[in-house]
This record gives sequence, structure tokens and C-alpha cells, in this order.
Amino acid sequence: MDTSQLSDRKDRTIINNYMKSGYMGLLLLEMEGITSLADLGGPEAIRGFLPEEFQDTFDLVQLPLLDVILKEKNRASAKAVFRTAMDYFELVNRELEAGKPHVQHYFAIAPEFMWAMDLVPVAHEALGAISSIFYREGCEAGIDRTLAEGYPDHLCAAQTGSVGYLLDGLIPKPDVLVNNSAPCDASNMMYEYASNKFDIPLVMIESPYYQNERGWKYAITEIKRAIEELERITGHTLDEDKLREHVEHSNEAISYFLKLQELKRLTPMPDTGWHRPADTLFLIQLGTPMSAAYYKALYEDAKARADRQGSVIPEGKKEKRLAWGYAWMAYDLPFFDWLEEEHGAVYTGDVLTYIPPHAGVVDTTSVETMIEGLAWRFMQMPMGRQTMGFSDVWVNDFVTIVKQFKVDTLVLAGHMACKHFWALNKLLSDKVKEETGVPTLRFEVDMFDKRFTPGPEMRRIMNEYFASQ
Amino acid sequence: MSAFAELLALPSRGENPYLQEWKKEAGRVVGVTCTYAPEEIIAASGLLPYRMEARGVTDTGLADVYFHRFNCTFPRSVLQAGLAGEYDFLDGFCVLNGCEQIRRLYEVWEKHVNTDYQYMITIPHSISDAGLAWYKEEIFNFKEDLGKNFGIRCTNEDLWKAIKVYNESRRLVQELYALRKDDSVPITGSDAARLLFSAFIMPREKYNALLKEALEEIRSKDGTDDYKARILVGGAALDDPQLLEIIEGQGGMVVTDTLCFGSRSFGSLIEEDGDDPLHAIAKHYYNRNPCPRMLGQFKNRLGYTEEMAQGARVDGVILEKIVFCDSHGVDTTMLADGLEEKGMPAMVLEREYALSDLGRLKTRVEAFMERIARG
Amino acid sequence: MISLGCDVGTITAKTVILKDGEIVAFDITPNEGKLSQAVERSVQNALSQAGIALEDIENRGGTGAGERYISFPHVTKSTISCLSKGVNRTVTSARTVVDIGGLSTTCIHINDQGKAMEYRTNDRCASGTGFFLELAAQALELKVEDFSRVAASAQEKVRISAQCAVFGESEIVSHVNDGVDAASIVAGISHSIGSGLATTARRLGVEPEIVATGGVAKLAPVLKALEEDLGVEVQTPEWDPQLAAAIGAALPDTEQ
Repeated sequence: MDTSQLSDRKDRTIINNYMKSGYMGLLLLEMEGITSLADLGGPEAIRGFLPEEFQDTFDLVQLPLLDVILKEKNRASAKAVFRTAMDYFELVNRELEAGKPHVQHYFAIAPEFMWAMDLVPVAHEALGAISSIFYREGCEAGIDRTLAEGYPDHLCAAQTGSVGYLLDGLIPKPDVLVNNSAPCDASNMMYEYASNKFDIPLVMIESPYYQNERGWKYAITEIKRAIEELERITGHTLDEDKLREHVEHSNEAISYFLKLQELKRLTPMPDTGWHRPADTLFLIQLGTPMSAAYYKALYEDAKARADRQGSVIPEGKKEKRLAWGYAWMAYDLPFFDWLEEEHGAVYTGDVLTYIPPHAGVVDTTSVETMIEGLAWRFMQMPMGRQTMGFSDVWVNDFVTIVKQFKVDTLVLAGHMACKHFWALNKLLSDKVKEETGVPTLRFEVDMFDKRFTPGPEMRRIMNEYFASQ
Repeated sequence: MSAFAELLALPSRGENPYLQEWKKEAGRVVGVTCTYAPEEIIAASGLLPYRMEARGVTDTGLADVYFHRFNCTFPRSVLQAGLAGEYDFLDGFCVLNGCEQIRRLYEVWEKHVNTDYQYMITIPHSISDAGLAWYKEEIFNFKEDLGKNFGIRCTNEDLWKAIKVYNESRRLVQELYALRKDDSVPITGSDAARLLFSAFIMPREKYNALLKEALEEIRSKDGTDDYKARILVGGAALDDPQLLEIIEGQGGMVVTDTLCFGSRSFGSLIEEDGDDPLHAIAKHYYNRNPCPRMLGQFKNRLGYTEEMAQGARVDGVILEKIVFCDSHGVDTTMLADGLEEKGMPAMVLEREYALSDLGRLKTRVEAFMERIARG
Repeated sequence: MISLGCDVGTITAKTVILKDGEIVAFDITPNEGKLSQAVERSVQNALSQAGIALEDIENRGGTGAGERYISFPHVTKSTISCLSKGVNRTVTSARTVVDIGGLSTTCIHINDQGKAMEYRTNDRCASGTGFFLELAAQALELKVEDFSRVAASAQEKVRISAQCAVFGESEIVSHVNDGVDAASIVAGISHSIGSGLATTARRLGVEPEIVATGGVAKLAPVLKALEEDLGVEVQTPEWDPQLAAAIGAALPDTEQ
């Protein structure tokens, strides 16, 4: 990475950090024959031989995470994660440098049409959440900053982290906010707050309540309306060729995503679990070459493993197949690797990394066909799909996941801020039990704030569960 | 018993005499969860709308099997009443996606409470022409589905008639609010609230007749100016006078509000001069003074709050929110900050749906009164 | 065959010695600051009761949140499994175990072999746990052990908000200040805890026969409230219900 790509603006601090973390991860992964930090002489030694401009980045990053990515089985996916983080944020920085209007949007809105308007779209939630994934300190400082303004702690850290960074000027203030009405009031209210606090226009895209033709027609209207609003606000227009280019990237990305999803049906399960949070968050890059590269790399890694019937758990352990009926915890990716190593427990699906196969390919013939296809895909984006309408969608998706991925335990690590989830949690576990006989293990977490259910506590809960089996 | 006394003390659910009478005459009742519900359509279809409440429900043990401690106690309490059989009188239940928690009531209710007919009306989270078109189609579908299910016809004429009745309520309630604008106030805020709550749980024509009489009685009363401060109450769903009694017990006089059971339901009329009653209904409900669940409307809502506060010459604003309500959880603080910036004292008060920990509430209100008491 | 089981909770350490499946000694020692000391004392007490030395007991199991404070070699066993097997030893017809402990409540579905099939834990919320009772006892200037006796004389019960132990404690203080008698308050607390337990049980699903374990299971008014709410009989074992996990830890076939 060319360090001249780094901006010296304070509001690029977080973006710079992500770029540098990506690069630093790749530096470590380049070293052959190394499978842990200890092999390199331990953290102090590593810090010592890193180029000076990366030493402070090293201080930020979670050491257990670095140990996990150096393991042989995790290297390929780790390279994809760090490469993607570096390239994507480098792109974002470059585009922002070029003075293009900056849009922050809800993560479950596919951004192709915004790239095609020559805007710079970044998922608002990712700006905070990726700190949780990479850093020892996570995004807790952002969360606390927002709460210090008097806002309740039952809001979702997906937004409060990023909003806190906005308040402290660590991420760029967007020129426009684009939000959709799903999933919830908690996320919506933070957009309302940010819009009013920073005087940023807010463009709303309604998520239709019904997964049918009428709903789809409405979504098409809404995407078109958003494009018109963005044109009015930024003066930029939608370019057909650009749209086609970005949709081709996302078509490729989604098709690899779905192929990878198919592989999760296999026994042994060939996809390592540690990178699930990135699998969701890097959907934000849909429309860029990076997202296609990311899911392609993951797919190829899993496919290679599947072809030789390899597994991600130690030899001799019995494979246990978990589905996460909510999702992952961003702050402890090593936890998912630990589950594999310690318990032979693999990570099949969760609500944030499941896309139904019919989300498929967008027809690139014309602007009209592309918008229609993008509108349908918008209705299938993770979390959006399961919260737009009736809870049946969430529940039935998990019956499908449990059956298709041959799950033997449904783990509901329920996000404390998700009122939707908690109001349907028993309907979910009951239906899964009824249709598949699979039991549920349930506990509370905050997906982005490690203080709520710290890593050791999660391990204790899982140890207890497996010991009682 | 005078009309005023009757409306002040009208019982809810099973004990409600109007409900009992209605059911005895083979009338059918459709529950609704939110002020975006077009009650006129239900009434025009010959059914009785009943705004769901859970007054008196203090323990949510049955509901908490399905909901969780992170969920708002309002849907939990309504579900509790449902599971305990207190809503067995319902023939239908119309849920709206007013907020994400109340709408999640739909599926649990469908599976575990015995109401024959259920319907979901969905409303967009922002104001636009496309959104109005969606909402209008939703309520049209609702009207048709009601008709099919209950074997009734609902004509345009029926709709206009219902609109007239509901507009009459709105006019009468506006008169009630007008009586509270002077220093000398003939009715406390908690009593005024009781009068309004009754509107939602009895046939609206009968209510109008009673309210009209009650207004006469109120007008004949001597007002009082023996209070420390004039208060506007805003915030989350409030369908029980207890919190207002606490405020008034500490010397406040609640003279107006921006509540959905209050001014937001009665503050503006449906236009009666068009061709299409369904369009008039849709426009009214969709565009009406919005709840924070409607995005992009904060400035309007702040403006509305200021207007109501100024109109009633208020000394301070109390914004209450139910624990775990995300919409009001954020909005009350945004509003309070906005009001304070403009020089209007405002406080945010957290509560559960069924009040508990009254000592804390009293203390906080008392402190606010000390700050804003009129010289 | 002699075996020893030690269950180290946050509030107490419990030790049980079994001989051929029968309890020959047991001890419950409160944690007065250092858990390791409580464990040490509990084990010593049980050993002297049984008149046996630790070295003569080959089979030793340990469980509980503080299990790591057991200093002698032992097999670590899952608490869920210990509770399940501990109850099953004498109540083979038990299908639901409701464990009401110091800081958490757990409901377990077990089969006729005492294997845990599914469970739900509430360990986030102090409401309904021993900890809340301690808070309440302090506010009332009583001992938790007195609650049964005090509640028996209640004419009525006051409503205690079941939502949060912090608000609940504040409410108790308000009631005390308002001159409400202790009996009514204790009855109110028992009712609120019993209801909360009933909800936890229903979340998992109530399958008779139900057996309650844990320290709080010794409080008759709480159990009664739980039974009334569920509308199903709730048994307590003939042995001290606080010993369930320690018994399970002592049993040789309890899963690790």
C-alpha cells in the first residue's frame, strides 16, 4: 500500500486505520511457514520489525485475531478479508479526495446505483462495526460518545458506534444519508438524529412489507424515487454504462456468495467460520471489484477444501453443525475459530449471511431491467429481508437453513438491541423444533459491544452446552 | 350519573357496559393498535373499533414467554391481556406497523390468542406521494377484506357518515382543549385524558353525545389557577391517567399534549368536501401530525410541539418515554434539546407502560416543578 | 463405592459425599469473601461428617461457577448435567428441573436417564434470584431464611414490580417508608419471584413432573407462587434442594 494514499484529515482517521490494518494483515500473511504470533517471536518482536508507520496500527488490532488468521486453514480467507479492507477503503479515500459527494447508507441497501451516479457510498454501520472486528478497543468509544448525548443504551450499536465517530469527527460527514425503513426504529432514529444534528438531507427508501409482486413494484418505485432525490441533492445523474459495470461486479459477487452458501450444505463443512462478520459487512462493497474478489476468494478456498473432503475442525473430532439464528459477534472473531478447534463446531448460517438463491442475477440489458433487478435484490438483502414484513420470513428461513445445512443446534445469541428478534425468538425456536427436532441454545449479546457478554463468558456458555450434551 | 362522571370512569374491556351492550346485540368488535388505524372504515362497516390497551395489567408473565425483557411493556401488556382471555370479545384484530414492537404482536397473537380474524395494515416510514398511494391501497384492501370476512358492504355513503361522526368527536375535543387555554382551568389534564381515552372504547356516536353534555358541565364549573406550572405532555403511548396525576400531584397542571391518545388523534379534521372518502381518510391519517416512527419529520414535530406549547401558554414540557421504546427513546431527547435551545424548559421522563417506582417519578417531576414554577 | 461432589456457586459452596448412591454427608458453606476458603471449609466439614479422608475417595466431581477454586484433583462436570443427574437419582419421573440459584435461574428438560435435552438460563437479570432476595432482605432488615415464616402471617401482598431488581429494591424501600408491614412485602416479593420463575419455565415449556432445586427452592411462599402460576405441582426433593448439583457432581455417570 502506498502510504501517500493515506489522508491527513482527521475525519479520515477511521478509514485510514482500516486501510492500514488491511495492509498490515497482508504483511503478516506474506510470511511463509508462520502459523502464530509466537512463531514470529511474539507481539513485541513483531511490532519491532514492522515498518514504523504500521506500529500504531499493530497496537490497535486484536492479537488473538492475528493468531487466528495466521493458522493454515484460515490464511486464504484472511488474505481475502485484509485485501478487501485495504482495497475498498483505499478506493473510498481516493474517491473522497476527488471531491465526489459522499453518501452514507444503511448497510442492507445495495449501493450499485449510487456508484453509478458517481457518488461515494459507504455503509454507515460498517464504519463503526469494522472497528469492533479488528480492534482491541472496538467501537465502544463511539457508542459511549453517542450515549453521552443522552440517548438510550437499548439502541443498536450498529449505528451508535458510527454516529459517535461522526460526533467526534473521525469519519467524514456525508453529504447525504440514505436509509431504508427496515429493519427497525432503533436504526431509523439514529438516521433521523444524524440528519438533524449535522443538517444532512435524509433520503428514505421504503422496504415493502410483502415479498410479492406488489411489494416488488413498490420497491422499484422507491429506488427510482431515491435516484431522483439524489439527483436533486447532488446534481449527479445516473449513468447507464456505469450502472452496468457496477451491477456486473455485484452479479459476480452475489453469484459467488450463493455458490459458497451451497457448499455449506456439505459434510464436512468446508468454510471456516471466523470471517462471518466480514462476510456480512463486505456486502457493503457490492458493485465494486473488491466485493466480487472477496466472495470469489472465499468460494475458491472452501471449494478446494470440499474437493479434497477436508474439514475445518481437528482430526478425530466429531463435527457439530451450528446455525446462528441471530448472527455473529463482531468483537470476537477468534471465538468462531475456537468453536471449531475446541468443540468441532462449525458455523453454517445466520440471518446476516443468508441470501435466498432466488436473489440471483440482475439483468443488465437496460436501466429499467437493472433497477427492477436491484429492487428485488434489495428485498433479499440480509436483515432487510427478514425484518421487512411478517416474522414468518425469519422463522421459515431458519427452518430452511437448519434442514439444508444439516444443523444440529440452533444458537440464538440474540442482540440485545434487536426488539424484532426478541419478539419472535420463541416462535423461531418452537417452529425449528417442530419441523426439525433441533434444540435451541439461547443467550444475550451485544453484537458490537464486548462489555455486554465478553469473550470468556461466551466460551463458558458454549463449554457448558457441549458438556451437557 | 352525569355524562361527565360516566366518561371519567368508563371501565375498560370486560367491564365496559357499552361493549357488553354491543356484544349482546350481536355487534362485532375489531381491535386496533395505533393512531394510524383508519377507525372510520371499521365504523362505516358496522363494526366497533376498540383501541387496544392494557390498563390495569401489571404483570406480563404470560406475555414474557414470547417477548423478552428488552421489549416494550406496551405490546407485552396487551399480549398479556390477550393471553389471559381479556380480549375474547374481539371478533377481529387490526395490527399496524406503527412501531417495530407493536407490529411483532401480530404473529404471536395469531398463534397463541384466539381471535378469529386478523389483519395487518402497513404504512410507510416517510411522507411521499408514493407512500400515500401505498397506504391508500392498504386501507382499501382492508375495507374489502373486512367486508368479505364479516359479510358486510361498506359504501362511500357509509364512509362519509363515519367521517362526519369522527370529525364531530374531533371538533368537540378541540372545544375541550380550548377550555384549558386560560389561566383558570376548569378541568385537570388527568380528567381531560380520561375523557379522551373513553372515545376509543365505545361507539363513537354515543360518545359524542356524552362528550357534548360533559362539555356543558365543564363549562359551568369554576376554574382553578391554583397550580405551579402549566405543562404540555408528549411522548410515547399514554392511555392511563396515572402519570398525569403524578405530575398534577406535584403542582403541575397539564393543559395540552402531543400524545397519540390525545391531540394527535383529535387535532385536525378529515376533509369532507371531496369525492372520494377513502382518499380523504388516507390523506388525513397519513399526513397528520406525525409520530417519530415517520422519518424526516422531526422539524415538523418540534414545530408542532412548540405551537401546541405556545397556544396553551405552557411553562414546561414533560416528554415521557417507555423503557425500550426506540422511537420515543431518541425523539424525546431530540425534542427536549430542541425545546431548551428555544428557551422552553423540557424534561424527559422514563417509565414502564404500567407505572411502577412512583417515588422516583414524583421526585423527578417535583424537581422540574421547582425549576419552572410560575413566580 | 464412595464419591464426593462439590458445587461451587457464587453465594455458597456445597459438598456431598455419596456411599453407594446414598447421601452420607453434606455441607453448605456461605462465601464470606474468599471462595477458595469456603470450598476448603465445606469439603472438610463433609469429610469429618462422613468420618473419611479425602485421599480415600477416588471419585470426585466438581462443578459450578467457582469450580476452579477446588484445589484437589477432580473431574470437572457441567452444572446442567449435574443438576439433571442430581434430580434424576431420586426422582426418575422428573422431566423439568427448575433451579433457582444465587445469581441465575435455569430450567432444564431431562429424560428418564437424567440427561439434559434442552435448557434455558436467565443469568442476566437479578430479578427472581437469590441475589434479589438478599437485596430485599437488607431493605427489610430481615434474613432470607426468615422469609417463609414472615410471609405466612401476611394478610395480603403488595405489588412489587417484577421488571427490574433495581426498581424492585427501590419499591420495597418506598413500601417500608410508607409503613407497609414486612409480611405483606415479603408475600409480594415471593409472588413476584414465583411469577418470574413461571415465565422462565414456560419459555422452555413445562413438562411434568417438575422439581425445583437451588437455595431459593427452600422458600415455601416462592414455590407456592410458582405452583399457583403454573397450575402444575412443583416438587422439592426429600433432600436439601440446594445440593442438587453437588449430588450430580458426585455421581459417577454424570457427563463432563
